[in-house]
Order: sequence, then structure tokens, then C-alpha cells
Amino acid sequence: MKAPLLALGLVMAAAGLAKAEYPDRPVTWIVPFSAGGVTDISSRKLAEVLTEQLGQPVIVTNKPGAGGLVGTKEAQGAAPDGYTVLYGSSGPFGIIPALSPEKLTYDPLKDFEVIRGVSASPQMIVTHADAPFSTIAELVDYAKANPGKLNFGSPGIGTAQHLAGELFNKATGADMTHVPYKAGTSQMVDLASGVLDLSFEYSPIVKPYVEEGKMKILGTTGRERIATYPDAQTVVEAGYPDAVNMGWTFLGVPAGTPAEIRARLETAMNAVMADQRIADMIRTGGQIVVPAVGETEGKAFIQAEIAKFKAAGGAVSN
Amino acid sequence: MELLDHAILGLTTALTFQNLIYAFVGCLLGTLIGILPGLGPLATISMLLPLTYSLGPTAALIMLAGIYYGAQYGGSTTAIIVNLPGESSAVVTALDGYQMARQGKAGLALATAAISSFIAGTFATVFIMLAARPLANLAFSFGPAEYFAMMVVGLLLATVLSNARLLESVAMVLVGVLLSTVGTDLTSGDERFTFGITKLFDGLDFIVLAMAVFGFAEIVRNLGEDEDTVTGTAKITRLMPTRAELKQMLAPATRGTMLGSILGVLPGGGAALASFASYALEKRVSRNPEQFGKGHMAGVAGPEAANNAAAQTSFIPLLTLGMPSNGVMALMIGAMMIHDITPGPRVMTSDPALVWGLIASMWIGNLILVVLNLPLVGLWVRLLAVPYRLLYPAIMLLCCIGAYSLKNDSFEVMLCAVMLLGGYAIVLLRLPPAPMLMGFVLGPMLEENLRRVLLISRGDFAALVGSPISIGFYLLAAVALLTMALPNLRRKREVLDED
Repeated sequence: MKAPLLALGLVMAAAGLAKAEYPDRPVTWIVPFSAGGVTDISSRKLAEVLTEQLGQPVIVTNKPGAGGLVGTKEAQGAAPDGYTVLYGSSGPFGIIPALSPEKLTYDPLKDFEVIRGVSASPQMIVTHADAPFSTIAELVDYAKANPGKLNFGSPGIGTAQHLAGELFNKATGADMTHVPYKAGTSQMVDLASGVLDLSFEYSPIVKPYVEEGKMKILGTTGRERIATYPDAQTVVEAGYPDAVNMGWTFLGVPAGTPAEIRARLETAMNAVMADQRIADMIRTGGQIVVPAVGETEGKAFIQAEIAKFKAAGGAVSN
Repeated sequence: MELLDHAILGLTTALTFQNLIYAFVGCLLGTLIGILPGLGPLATISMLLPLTYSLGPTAALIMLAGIYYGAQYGGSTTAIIVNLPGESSAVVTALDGYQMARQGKAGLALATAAISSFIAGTFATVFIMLAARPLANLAFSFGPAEYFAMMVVGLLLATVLSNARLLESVAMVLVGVLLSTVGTDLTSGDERFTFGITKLFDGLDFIVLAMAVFGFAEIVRNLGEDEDTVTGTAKITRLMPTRAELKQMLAPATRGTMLGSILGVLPGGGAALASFASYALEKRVSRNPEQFGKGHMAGVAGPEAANNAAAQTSFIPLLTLGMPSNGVMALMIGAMMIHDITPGPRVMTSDPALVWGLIASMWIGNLILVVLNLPLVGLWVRLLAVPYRLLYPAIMLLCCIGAYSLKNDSFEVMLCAVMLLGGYAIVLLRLPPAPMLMGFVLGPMLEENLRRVLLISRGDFAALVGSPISIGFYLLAAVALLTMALPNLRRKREVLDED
């Protein structure tokens, strides 16, 4: 009597093993930046909702270093089984491949699969309260009347904020000098006190200074206006569509991850992005939800961005 | 009476049962990780940060702040007992604190550190309550030119950290500055001295360097000597300071507190200067400067007070400008942002309970730390009685764990091993390591600000002396240089070199 039961049990266990639905253990979410940063914070919130969707804990792991290169490389080397996902972004996937391809130890297009685009963040064009210009058009006029006089700050060479300035230079013919800092916040004091003239920074960073009246917003580098500052004119409206620039993020997995696992992740991420909590987070952060961008469109998008950054890079190499 | 309102609001927030518990947990945890060599508050806070996301923002910040200054208390203990500074401020504490420990006055050194820190903490709390708003504006009068001038003074002062020949000290400062250039160049984005190794793109870590030249090199040196001379720490007489000694530490602690409170407000690296600016000041005003570096109590009291005061006033730029003055502060911004609080000029009016609660909790935290640490002094001192052959493997193991925890990577441990070769060479050549570490800390700020000034002025060096503040700093530097070069002082230095 016992033997058949045991056999049945074994068969059932084997069937269970074969059919074990992904995911049946925690998923690691790699953030290639340190804890506490903007990328980390949004990752934590996304992971929380993704946990509900997958029914397994999604654990955020910070692998900071070299502008995202270290963490991205780490994700590339992970087993392509869906248990390691990467929060990819414009730095390690767009800017570094365009400007310093010699630093890459992975192929941004071949080594990863895009699950879904997450967010895009345009920069706010800000200046200090006493600046003699208040709109994008006035800024361009002033820059042309005073060539080589204006300075713009950024949180470092090769950041999206730096390239925003270079693209603006190229599109408008303004001749502004780039002054790199170590972090977004440290240039804010120099901008508020008038040491710098301009900055292309994300809206949460400039918000306290704008509220306090120490800075004014001239416009945004987005294609469309953002919810937090609906009055800020876009560079497209101002007549400079080539100055459009955004930092962007997506969820990716190492190349070779099975299609059904990617499909499961994509369904889950679509639900995450439809969640009200995530929509609120993106809106208050001055970001835009990226419409469902899957693998093919995702790759094409990344390719186009690399080309755009490369074109801007001509001005960067000094 | 605005001050009173703020104090009452702060205390009622900080003294709720929940917040008290978190302050205590933070201080305890901070002390523990501070004592473990190499395990810094940065690694701990970034590991714990996600846990605090589920707490309220006030409780989370109170706990993180507790870890931060708890780690500084704990870090002094390690610096004094085993000569292992875990962060730049503890480098200075190690100078005289470790010498005191070797003379059997470890208890006194630890008590001095704790009591001076408490004095500074109390003063700084009141100072922040009184002057946070006006002081926040001080940051706006410091541009790149002013920071560069301040760093010039800082590097000159770094040479005071040793009794070695001036030339040797200057050389070591420069070696430190050179080491700090490893990594991605901020202005051009090019790699310097990285040999194509991706993991070096962000430069060397202070903790790796400090452990290599202080901790590991010290161990190697000790192993080269007979065991009795190593454990030959003089007999421990008593643990607590006498009334006369308390009186002695009061003046340096007060001066250190003042200096630290002001420097901490400057977000561009003021806090990093605090402890050794105080050391330089104490050495200058002391009637027997030749005793510094050989176990002078003022060399522990002043810097410890300065460092603790600066740690607390560095919350001013954080809360009022959203400007972090170091990595730990940057994590605190993350802790606020996750709760949708943007630090900045508005936060004092929009979240007064959070700001004043945090400030009041600093004083409570300092009280907890003294209560926690003074009874432990006896325990730490007893560590010195452990035979060295048992103690050093434990220290090395902890250091390796600490190095690993920096980036969850064994690369840093290997780097320690490589740096140790240089560290041991420094020991053999009898060169002073402390000025090198200060050069390493201040070097990036010196370079960064210089290049920023020149970028903005399009290469015009006159921009460096463009404001009264920077001119003031250069005058200070000139005076410092003159006194160092004065013949009678040089003679004093030479006399010291002979013994």
C-alpha cells in the first residue's frame, strides 16, 4: 500500500518541480547607484509594488560605482533566470556608451533585454532670482549678445544635466561654459548666490530654491510640460526641438532570460506602472511615465539616445 | 520667545517613547559599528536606510543621526585603544589618544573624549537652535574661491599634525593630495592612475588608506618587535579624570567647540577641517607644544569637541539648504525624500516638529552616549591587557570585514594589502602618516574648487583673491607659514627630532 502512495508522491513532487512557476523565490533588483539617491528611492517604491504583483519579495540591492558601470556589469554577469533584474538608466546605457565607449565592459544593446520603460525626467532650466532673463527666448538673446559669458553647472561631466546644457548650446547657438560639480545639490548654492548663471536640473532638486524665491524657472527640456511646473515652457515651444533632453529609466534583465519569464515580468511591470502610488510618485517627482515600451521599441529608443548623446558629445570633448 | 518655543516643540517630539527608543537604538548601534575598525556609519546607514523607510521621517532621522554621532564616539575608542582611525576626524584623536593609552592613561583618554564630546554636543544644540537661520546664509558667501582659500589654510595646518621636520610633513601632505587624484577627473571626465581598472574609477577610499597606513602598518611594525615591548603598555592607574584634569580639559574643549560649530556650518568640507584645525590651535596656544603627539590631553579634548560640534552643526546646511556635507548626510536626504520631505529653506516652517525634534534628540543622544560610554571605559581598557598575539588577528579580521563592507566587494580588501606595503614603508622611513591622510581628505576639495574658479573666470587667477573672505584666509595662511618658518621654532622642531 505504501509503495504506490510514495510513488504518487514522488510523481507529484516531480511535476511540481517541473511546473514551478516563476517566481518561486525572491528577486534581486540591482540599482547601480548608492542608497538614498533619486534612483534608489524610486526603485524602493517600484520594488514594493512589484513585490505585490509577483507574490515574491523583490529585494533592492545597491551596487554603486563608476557612474553605474559597476552595477550594470554585475547585472550582465548574473544568471539569466529572471531572479536578477536591473534598473537601467540613461547614464550607463546612453551617455557613457556614447561619450566614453572605451570604459564599457558590456554591450548596452546586446547584453540586456528591455522589460519595460519606466520613467523619463526632463530637466528644469533654472537661473538665480537676479538674472536679466526670465524666458528661454530672453536667455538665448542674452547669450548671443554676451558670447562666452554664461556658465552652467551640472553634477558632473557626462551626466544627463551636463548634456542638457551642451544640447542647448548646440540647438540655440548659445555659448555657455560647463562647470562640473560632484552632486546636484552642491551646485545649487553657487547658482543661488550668482556664482553660476544657469543649471539644467531635475525638478525635486530645484524645488526648495524656487519656492524660496532664490531661483526662477525659465523652462524645461522636455517634449511636453510637466505636472509640477505647468507654467514652464518647453524647449520645443520655444522653437528648439533639438534641445530636448531627458534622463530615463527602464527595467531590464540579462540577455538570454527565457521569453516566458520576460513576459511574466512585463505583465507585472505594466500593472506596477498602472498603480496609483507609482503614478503619484512619478508626477510629484516631475517625471513622465514612459508608455509601455517593450523590447523592440526599447532597444530602438536606446540606440537613438546613444546617437543623440554622441552628437552632443562633439561639443563636450574640449 | 521663539527659542523657547522651538526647544519645547523639539523636546516634546524627541521625548516621545518611540523617538527615545530610536535615539537609543541609533546610539547603541552607532557606538558598536564605530568601535569595529573599518565599519563606518556610511556602510551601516546605507544598509539600514531601507528599514527606516517604514518608520516615520522623524523617528528615522533621529535613529540615523544617533548612528552617525554614536559612530564618532565609538570611532574615538578604536583610535585611542588600537590606533585605528575610522574616519578623518579620528586621525587626530589617534595622535595623542593612542600615546596616552600606551602610557597607561587609556581610561583618561577615553573619558576625555567622551566628556569633551558631550560639552560640545550640548553647546552645539543650543547654537543650532539660536542661529540656524542666519548661519545658513553664511554658506551663500562661500563660493569656489573662498573654499579654495580655506583648503590652502587647511593643508598648511595639516603639517602641524606631526612633530617631524617641516619638509617631511609638507612632502607627506603632497603624497596624500596625489593619492586623492586617483579616479575619474571631475573636470575632464578622464581617468587618472586607474590602470583601466573600473573599480578604481571612483578613487581610493579613505578607510582603506587609513587602515593600511595606521592599523595594518602598526601591526606589522609591532610584529617586528619583541612581544614584551609591544604589550609594554604602562600599568593602568585609574580610569576617571580627577577634578584638576577636568578643569584642564575645559579650556581646550570650549575652544574646540567654538571652532567646530562654525566650521561645521560650511557645507563644502568645513567639518573635515574641524578636528585638526582645533589640534593646530591647541598646539599653538599651549605652553608646552612639544608634548603634543606624545600624549597631551588637550590634543584629545580639543579635537574631539571640535569634531562633535561640527558633526552637529553640519545638520544646518542639510536642513536649511538641502546640502549634504558628507556621504552620511546625503543618505539622510534620501531618508527624508522617501517620505516626500524635500530638505531646503522651507523645511523649518513646513516640518518644524521634524527639525526641532531632530535637534533636541541630538542633545538627548549625546547624553545617552556619555551614559553608555563612560561605564564601558573600563571594559575597553581591559582589552589592552589581552596578549597582542591574540589581539592582532582579531583586529585584522575586523579590518578586512570593514574593508569588504565599503562596497560589498573583496577588491577593497586587496587594495588594503597593496596599500599596506606603502604604509609599512612609511613606518620604516619614520615619516608621519597623519599629514598624508589630511592631504588625502582635503586634496579633492582643493583641486575641485581651484579648477572651478579658473573655469568660471576663464583662466584669470585674479579671481582667486576676489573677496575679503578669501583674502582673509590667505593672510591666515601667510601668518601660519611665517610662524612655521621662524628660526626659533625651527630649532624647537630639530630638538624634537633628536629624541
